[in-house]
Amino acid sequence: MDDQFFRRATRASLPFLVWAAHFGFSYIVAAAQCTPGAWRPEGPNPWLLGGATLLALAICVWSGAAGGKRLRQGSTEFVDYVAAASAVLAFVAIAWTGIPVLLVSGCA
Amino acid sequence: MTTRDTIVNDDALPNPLPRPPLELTRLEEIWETPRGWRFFKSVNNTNIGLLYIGTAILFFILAGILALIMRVQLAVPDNDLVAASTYNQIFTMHGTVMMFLFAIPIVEAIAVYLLPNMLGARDLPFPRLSAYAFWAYAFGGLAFFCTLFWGLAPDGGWFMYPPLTGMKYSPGLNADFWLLGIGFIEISAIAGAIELIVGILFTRAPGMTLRRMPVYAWAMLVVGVMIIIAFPAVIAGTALLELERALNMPIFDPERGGDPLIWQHLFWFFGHPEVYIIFLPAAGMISTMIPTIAQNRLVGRRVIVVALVGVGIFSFGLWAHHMFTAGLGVIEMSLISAASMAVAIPTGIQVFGWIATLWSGRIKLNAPTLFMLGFMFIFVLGGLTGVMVAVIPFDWQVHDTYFIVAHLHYVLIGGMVFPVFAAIYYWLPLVNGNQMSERWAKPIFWLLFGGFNITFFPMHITGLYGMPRRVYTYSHEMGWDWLNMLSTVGAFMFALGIVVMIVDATRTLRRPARKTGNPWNAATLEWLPNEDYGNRSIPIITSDDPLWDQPTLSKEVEEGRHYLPGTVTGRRETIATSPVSATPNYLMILPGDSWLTVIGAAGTAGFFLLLTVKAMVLAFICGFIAIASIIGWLWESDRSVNMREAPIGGGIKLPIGAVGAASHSWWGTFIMLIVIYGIFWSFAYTYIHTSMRLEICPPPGASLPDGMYTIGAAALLLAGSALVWFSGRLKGHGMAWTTLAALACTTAAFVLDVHSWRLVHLDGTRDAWNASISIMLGFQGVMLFVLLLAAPYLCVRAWRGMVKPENRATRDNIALIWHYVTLQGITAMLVIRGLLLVMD
Repeated sequence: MDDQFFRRATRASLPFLVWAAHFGFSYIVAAAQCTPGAWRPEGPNPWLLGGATLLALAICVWSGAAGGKRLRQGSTEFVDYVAAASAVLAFVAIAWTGIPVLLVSGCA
Repeated sequence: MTTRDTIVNDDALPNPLPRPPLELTRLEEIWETPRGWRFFKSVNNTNIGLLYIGTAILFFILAGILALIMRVQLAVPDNDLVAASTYNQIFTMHGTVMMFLFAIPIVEAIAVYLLPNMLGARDLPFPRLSAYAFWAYAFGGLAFFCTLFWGLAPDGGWFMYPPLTGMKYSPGLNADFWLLGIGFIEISAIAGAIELIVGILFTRAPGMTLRRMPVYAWAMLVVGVMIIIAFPAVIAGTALLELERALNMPIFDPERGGDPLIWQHLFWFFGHPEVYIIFLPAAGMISTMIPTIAQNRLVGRRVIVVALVGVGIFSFGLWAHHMFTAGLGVIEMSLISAASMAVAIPTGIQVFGWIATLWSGRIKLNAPTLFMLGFMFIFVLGGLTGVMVAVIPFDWQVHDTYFIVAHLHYVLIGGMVFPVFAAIYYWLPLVNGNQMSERWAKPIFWLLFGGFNITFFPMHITGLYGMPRRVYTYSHEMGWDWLNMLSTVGAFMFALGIVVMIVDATRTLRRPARKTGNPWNAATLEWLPNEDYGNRSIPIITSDDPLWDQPTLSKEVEEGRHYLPGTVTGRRETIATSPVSATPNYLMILPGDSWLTVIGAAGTAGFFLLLTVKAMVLAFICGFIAIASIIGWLWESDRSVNMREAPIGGGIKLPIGAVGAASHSWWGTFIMLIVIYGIFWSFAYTYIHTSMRLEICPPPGASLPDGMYTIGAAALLLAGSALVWFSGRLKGHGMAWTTLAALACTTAAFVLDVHSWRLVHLDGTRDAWNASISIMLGFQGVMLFVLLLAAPYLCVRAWRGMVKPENRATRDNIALIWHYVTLQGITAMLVIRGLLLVMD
């Protein structure tokens, strides 16, 4: 597309996509490590899940900071505003969704 | 002036006065809506939208009557008005019809009706697809509803859980009608979503950037994408259950390695986002109506748009909160619980934005305002009980009780039905210029609001007292008598409100038409003067609230001073703009009215319904009619016109049509392929789920074919795609023969793959693992069947010289489908073999 629709859409929604990736990854790992196919006796790996959560949060911070910086530099592009605002929302959602990883363990 | 990058500023309008004398007459002739019985061949989205809305309301009334029968049955204990088996059919049909034949269709219908004018387009890009989707829904839905009169209606609850709905416990045709009927009606919802997404991205008025786009259009864009992602799961689920029932493929049978939870995951991966698919359009309507009602710009407009997108995405992390009692792992449940609470944040942002807009504006307490305030009250209560049931231990207590019935009705009636009522009051003047009675509106509102709360609030208490859902009666000793009687009284109050509202709406619509004007002093473009052709000229937009900030816009547009004040090619057409900045890109030719859409839809509905009753010959005749009609309508598209460029005013000349990824038809095909890939991945998920539960995989007696066969099949698929790519560089006979060579390669790949599995005795009825692979293989066969139709079609067009550099949409789209079939085939091979490597 001549006005870079996909690039802009990806930049604006990156934090939400990171939320989706983090959520999907956590759910799949938690489910898989409790099945015979990828059994882990102690239950889902908290370090793996915790690491994924920290990585997802870091990407949100980076994306939000980048969008915020462009806005402070005077950008009036909608995509920068959306990138910054979605980073805040996604950060809160990832942090909140990540809490069970710290508090809960096992397959029961 | 160049074609693409120039938006004319508003003091230099692109077309001068006076306009040529016959310009308007020609425009009217080309867009004229057929009269009498020929009206039904109309494909104009504004007409189809009205039919769609009317049909959806009909289903609302029918399902409402079923609800009243249930309430009468439950009014007193030990009632025997209806038998248990009939009651099962009634509650199943009530839920199914409300969700699938009213809620989703009406939000799409309102969008199809409003969006062309709200975006400033003459029409959306695929009017025949909209017409086909509507007629398929109408024929299929009415036939599906009539099963109730023959005792053949489904009776397994609106979410149809196996094993209850498997052959063992539901041997009749009832479940089959649900599976084939609903699966096919979902296809029409997807067709509507494709129209909406491409329409919103491609047909906005010049200058209506994404930032300036109405919030309602944003909501429908998000909803369209959600439908594309969510609906494949339920289509795949219904296919799997039907395959188990019809062909004994045991995907959900635990005795043969299957798992009923696969259905629950697939169903709710669609079912929970669906709640937001219904709610977000309503939120978009509210965000459009509230600024008008308050005569104040929407507070936090940009953050509300972000919140809409956030709700759309977060809603996909909530599906399993319907499964907290199904035995999921503790971490999975906790993740879902947390996500269920997180979605409240962006939802709350919207609610606060609306309150702030009302707070800082001047509210007139008219009919739309009353219904919007009713919506906020009811929906917030529904949202709060939603957060309550997101708390796992609480959910364990109230699961499958009337508390859930109360919660879901607060969310759905509060979150969707009340906004739709507000929308009916607000937008009805667009139909014939008349407004519904304000005097009647207040008693109607109080009947509906009061009736709703009297019906459903007591259900929270009956639920906490332990009354389960779906029971057809109860004994006096349970102590639920007066609460149930209260709910029944409330239900009849609500019904009375609906009857009076319909009488008022009918009265209003029967009044003589008059000039619509802008009765609410709204800011959005649907209130510009419009006729069958939409606006006389396509407006140039320079503001978020164009009718407030561009006060002369209405007059200028009506005089034909903006873009494209007539028809350039002598056909129906609109301006295609770029998706982000809405700069004019090309002139989009739109198809005219046709009976083919009606015939195609009737054939499709007949195929699925007759297949259900196993009238195979008639079913395939209907299927043939459907395919022939669709080919007939496609055959008329992608034709040359006698000019290369179209002047639209202001010195701008646009190319006519576009090729490749710049074309709307390419996007329509691309989105359709995303849906198909979603269905494929739902099947692949079934294979992964089944495999992961096995102690030994492949299970005893099963094995993978020799890798050389797989490599050979993959190579043939790639060769087919390469030949199709190469055929794009050729013309006429060269293109046709190369396409046929590609078809031979792709067919050979499939035959080789099937042969390799036959060598290792793959048997889809033996166990779930075998069945899941057979289904993936079968799905590849379905896609090959599509190519077997598409390739000769392309060849005939190429031989007849109909594929030219400026008319390449047919070839480009078929090439896209071809590459997709290659991708799907290779993905299946990688998933099947790759999973076993990971598990090793």
